[in-house]
Amino acid sequence: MGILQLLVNGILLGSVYALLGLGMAMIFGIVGLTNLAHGEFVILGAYASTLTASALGIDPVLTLVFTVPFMFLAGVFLQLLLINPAMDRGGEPALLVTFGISIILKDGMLLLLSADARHAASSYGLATFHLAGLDISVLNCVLFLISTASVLFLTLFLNRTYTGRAIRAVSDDQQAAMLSGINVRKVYAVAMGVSMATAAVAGLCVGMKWTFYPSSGGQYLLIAFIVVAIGGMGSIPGTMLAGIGFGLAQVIGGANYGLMISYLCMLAAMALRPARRGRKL
Amino acid sequence: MLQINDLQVRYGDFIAVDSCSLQIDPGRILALIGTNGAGKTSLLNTAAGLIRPVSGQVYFNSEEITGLRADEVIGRGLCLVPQGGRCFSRMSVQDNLLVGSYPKAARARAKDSLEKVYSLFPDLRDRRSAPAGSLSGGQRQMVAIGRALMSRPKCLMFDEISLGLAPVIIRDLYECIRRINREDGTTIVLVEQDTGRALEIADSFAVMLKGSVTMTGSAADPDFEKIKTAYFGM
Amino acid sequence: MSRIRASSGNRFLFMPREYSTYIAVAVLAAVLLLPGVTGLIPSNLMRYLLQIFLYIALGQAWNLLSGFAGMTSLGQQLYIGLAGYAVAAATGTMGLSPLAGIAMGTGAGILTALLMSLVLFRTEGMYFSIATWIAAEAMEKAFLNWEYVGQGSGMTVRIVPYPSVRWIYAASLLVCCFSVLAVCFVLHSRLGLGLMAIRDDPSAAAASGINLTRTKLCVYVLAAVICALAGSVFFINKGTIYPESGFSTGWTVSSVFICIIGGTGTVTGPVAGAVLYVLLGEFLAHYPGWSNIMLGLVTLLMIFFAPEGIAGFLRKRTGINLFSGRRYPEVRGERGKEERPRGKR
Repeated sequence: MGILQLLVNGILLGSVYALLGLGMAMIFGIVGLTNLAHGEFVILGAYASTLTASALGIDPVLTLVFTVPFMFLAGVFLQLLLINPAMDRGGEPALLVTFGISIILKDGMLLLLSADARHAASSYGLATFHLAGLDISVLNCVLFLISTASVLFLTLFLNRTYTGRAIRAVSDDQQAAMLSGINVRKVYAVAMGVSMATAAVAGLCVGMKWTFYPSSGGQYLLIAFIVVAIGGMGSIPGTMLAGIGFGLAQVIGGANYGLMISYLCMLAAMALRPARRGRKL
Repeated sequence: MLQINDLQVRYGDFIAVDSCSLQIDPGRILALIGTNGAGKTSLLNTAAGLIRPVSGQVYFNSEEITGLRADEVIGRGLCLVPQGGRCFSRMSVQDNLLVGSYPKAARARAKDSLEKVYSLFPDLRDRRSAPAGSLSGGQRQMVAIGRALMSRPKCLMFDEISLGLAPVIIRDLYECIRRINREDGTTIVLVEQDTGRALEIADSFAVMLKGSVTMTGSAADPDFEKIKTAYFGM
Repeated sequence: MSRIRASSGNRFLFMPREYSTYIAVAVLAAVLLLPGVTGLIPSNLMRYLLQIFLYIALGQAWNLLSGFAGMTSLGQQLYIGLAGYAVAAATGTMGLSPLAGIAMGTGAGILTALLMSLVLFRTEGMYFSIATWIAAEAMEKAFLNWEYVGQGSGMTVRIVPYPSVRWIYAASLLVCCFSVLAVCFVLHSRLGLGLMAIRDDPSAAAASGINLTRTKLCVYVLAAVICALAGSVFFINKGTIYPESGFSTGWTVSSVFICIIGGTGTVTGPVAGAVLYVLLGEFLAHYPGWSNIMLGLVTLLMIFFAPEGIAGFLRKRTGINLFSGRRYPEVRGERGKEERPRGKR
């Protein structure tokens, strides 16, 4: 494959990785919590899309209408009922609660949905088109559009609405936000809801692009982690770039060594990055 | 307007505010003065809902607000401008101000309020899309005051707004506070270490020492000898 | 404000607390070792016990890193898998004795830990956790593609004659004792004091003249050694290793679980946690698919109802503290409302 071809594939893939990281960064930047269950949320989204699509006989993309609100509400309640009370006890208990949620979800999915590989099939899954001498997969383009649209939507939400501004305010200075009349616990709940909604979208992308199992969550949690660590907490452009970088490294590494090379690149990037990273939303 | 009864605030074993009572009438300016560590900030933070008191009550407009969350207190019209301004440094000036009108009741009048804040602080209008972190100390304090005004408060509490600012800027800020008080009839509580300056603009004053109010009086003819005794406890 | 109160600990024959801990461990070890070697314990029971011993060691290693030094590693499976492969390669491919295999595994662990520290110590906090995990994942992917170690199908531990259950039992017990004693020793030494200072405030610790890098390195290498020892014995017991089992994140999951239910930041915690973990796993084996769900639920319940873990719970109720990790003052800040408005992190 030519370099340009690799570049295009890497960028198209990278947008999905960026979306994975963005959901994680929301929680880290705003709630100040490392959410160990994010990978399972993504897989939950993938199952929700795959099962809804096959039950209703519709294109997987359309299932977002159901999965996004469902995951949003699930996130809100999760935060209100479990994570907020745990956070009152300190940072470590909250982290461990997400750990507990992650293993419960993983094995719950295994129990209910079996260990079989799943895939969200679409009519254009294998189609490609030619553009300027490049083979471009229609599926990759669809995924790119979905994830870029989600990122744009999220940016607008954070910049243009009262709730979005409140979220940014809390991530900037929590006490000053409280003094501006913001209910921090409610903002946390909304942030978790939004984060799970992005996990639903990312899960759809994962399910359409690759096969997945109940145990795939760890892999996507790791990728989300990496993208966040490289891109800087909550910086949307940084997250996009980090996602694309990860996608590029993987495409260039090829089928056998792709993930390993990505991991090593990211490890090097983390070691070489200056210690202080800005958190910006 | 704001009434504090026999309040006690503790941080672990340390008692910051002890059997403290205070009252302020609507539309007035009260100066709360005292040395470092007298408990002024703790008192304000408790009234604003950041800290839960051990005992005692806080009433606002004859409604008990003891132990309410900060957002619930602000919803009732009592707002604190914290020490050092505390802007959201990565957000633009205008977004900072708009965060102030987050309470449901204030949202409908957000546009109106924004215009008012800009007329009060013309500097901010010029820099409205700059990140608040790039402003000078005085401008940041203006953002903080503006943000508080956006919530349409009935009573505003200022915690040492003059801290670390140049005298000229302090004079301007005090002028603005006087305007806020006169034009909207907003009740004002002013925490200061600088007694002379606070008494110039206040209607009445209260002196705090070791967590309690040791003296109250009218700012029109202060007895400086008595204030000195109350201030230092000698 | 916090009340600081030195843990009362148990005094054994009026000796200083430190020595009484070592003697308690030695006596316990002898009591467990003799019947094992002489064959008084049925081999079925021995298999459970040796699992418990190995998990205690893993728990101690993770606790040393996370609970005492504040370096939460999610990638200790790197050393477990590496040592397992070293044992398989030494015994199967090179024809060495199992002890030589364990030594090779430990050596590989130390070398890798030293190399990894160059990269890992440039990161902090959550970034450290991620970096350890990435390193382990990268290693798994490398072994998946490496022909010498059998790629995806893995390797078999070939020893003739194969070590008996008694041999493995004794080895596990020794590894376990080593881990407990080593952690106690570290905590009683000056190093331990430095560690806790680092955990609570790295900058202040550095300003007080503590060599951050050296202290962290000692602890990190020690944890790697414990994991490597436990890993090599574990895979001698198991007989086969492949990338997904050696470098499984399951190792981290069980280590974390053991420390939570046992209680982080205590030496007794992982011991109690490991016992419960193996028993619970055995009990839940009859309900396939439910074991991790139950573990997760237990985790949640522990966090909300017994946040200090079993060890802390017992100590509070009975005052018993079996293996004293001195210098772990009971700091119980009153987590009241006044701490609620947290500032920026």
